Amino acid sequence: MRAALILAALLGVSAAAAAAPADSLDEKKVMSGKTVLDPASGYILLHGPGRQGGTFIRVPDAEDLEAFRKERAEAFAKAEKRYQKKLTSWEGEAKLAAAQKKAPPAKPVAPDEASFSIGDIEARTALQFGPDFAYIKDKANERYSYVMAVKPGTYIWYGPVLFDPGQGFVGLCYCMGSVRFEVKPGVVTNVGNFLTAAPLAEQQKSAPLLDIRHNGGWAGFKVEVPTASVPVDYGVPASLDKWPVEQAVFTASGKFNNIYGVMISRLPPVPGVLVYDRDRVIDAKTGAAVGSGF
Amino acid sequence: MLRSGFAFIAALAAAPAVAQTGLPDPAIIKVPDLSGSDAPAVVDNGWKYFFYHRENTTFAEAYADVADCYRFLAPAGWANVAIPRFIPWVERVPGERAATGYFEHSGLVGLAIGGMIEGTLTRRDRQAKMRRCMEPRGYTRYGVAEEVWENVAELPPEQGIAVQAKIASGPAWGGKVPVK
Repeated sequence: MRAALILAALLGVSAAAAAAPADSLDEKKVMSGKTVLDPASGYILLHGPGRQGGTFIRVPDAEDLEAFRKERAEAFAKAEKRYQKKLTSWEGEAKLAAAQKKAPPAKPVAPDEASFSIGDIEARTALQFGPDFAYIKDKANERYSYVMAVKPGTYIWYGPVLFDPGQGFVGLCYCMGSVRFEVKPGVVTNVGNFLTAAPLAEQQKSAPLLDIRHNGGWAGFKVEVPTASVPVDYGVPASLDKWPVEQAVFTASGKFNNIYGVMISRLPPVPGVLVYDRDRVIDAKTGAAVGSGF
Repeated sequence: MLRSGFAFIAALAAAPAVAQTGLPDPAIIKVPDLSGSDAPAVVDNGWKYFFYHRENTTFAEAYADVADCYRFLAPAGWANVAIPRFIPWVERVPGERAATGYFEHSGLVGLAIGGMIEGTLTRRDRQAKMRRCMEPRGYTRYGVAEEVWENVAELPPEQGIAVQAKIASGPAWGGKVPVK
């Protein structure tokens, strides 16, 4: 993933377009004491039977909103400056065209403050992890664990969506319904295998899906989309015995835009957490419909 | 009998007028002739060329559903990344850089092959997204002739949504439900 992001940077992809790579922890460094718990940081621990990968979207906090507003204001000011330059140049060209009895060139359009866009804020708080940089790779026991240091906040499971240097964004977004959970500072939030194990995939038939292949690294990896639920397992690696670990608490999360243009779906229903009434996302705990977005 | 594509699009060009509610007026939306949808070849191809129908659904409900699904249709891949893409060199006015092509690893041959399959891939992407979005809402998919589907798919979004909403909420029209 890091290599992909470096390539993206070299090719001119803006930081906003490609989600930030997760700061993945390495078990060896945790065991040797090189990596220690940062009380200001949050951590996400998850695992699955094969390589895992995907995107979380952190709900923007006040700091993110302020940075977004500032960046937008600066970009708009630049756009206005560019427009003024173009307008001056156009006025000269229009005069010349009139003198030559030719049609004037198209007049530049002034940027509109109301519709001016610098892209989606959610793309700025998106975080991608895997399928490389696993915390533990236990192929024999079919267990791949991932631990990442993240900014504390509320995280939405956006789905197995990955940036691949050869293909752009690939995967499946749960744009039509998913789950979210809190990540506290100084604690490892244990997601276990919930995201792939708990959803009742066997109840959700839909159009066929192409393989999600991430071709980064040397050999490339396939990220499996589950077709059936299995028992949820919150087992914690022994190397994190001394770290404070809390089980994630999941709640239903509403529809989201398809910001990367990938294939769409929704996280299959999860008993006690997430149900659907046709396309409406329902919080199974309260029975209330869940609104779209943040 | 299939309506001519050009005549059909021309008939839709003025539609849809927007009523007081913000919805287009279904009375003036013209829908294509769907009477051939039970032909075996059309049913067989119903996994790729299709429209939806749901009983007891108002035009407003169907319009909201189709419109909601249209927002997910953005194509996948490099198109979503602001990356410099392959542009065949031709003399251009300085600063003009409107046309873009794919970032291509495999040279001109790869680009040519990519160009041949690009339309198909884009179509499959759109069809799969519509299926994933509309079917959980309780709509039934029925096959339509390729030409009929393409004529609607090529319409500007607000017109395409209006036509599909009228088809989805109108009288039952579907033939056999496609197996695939």
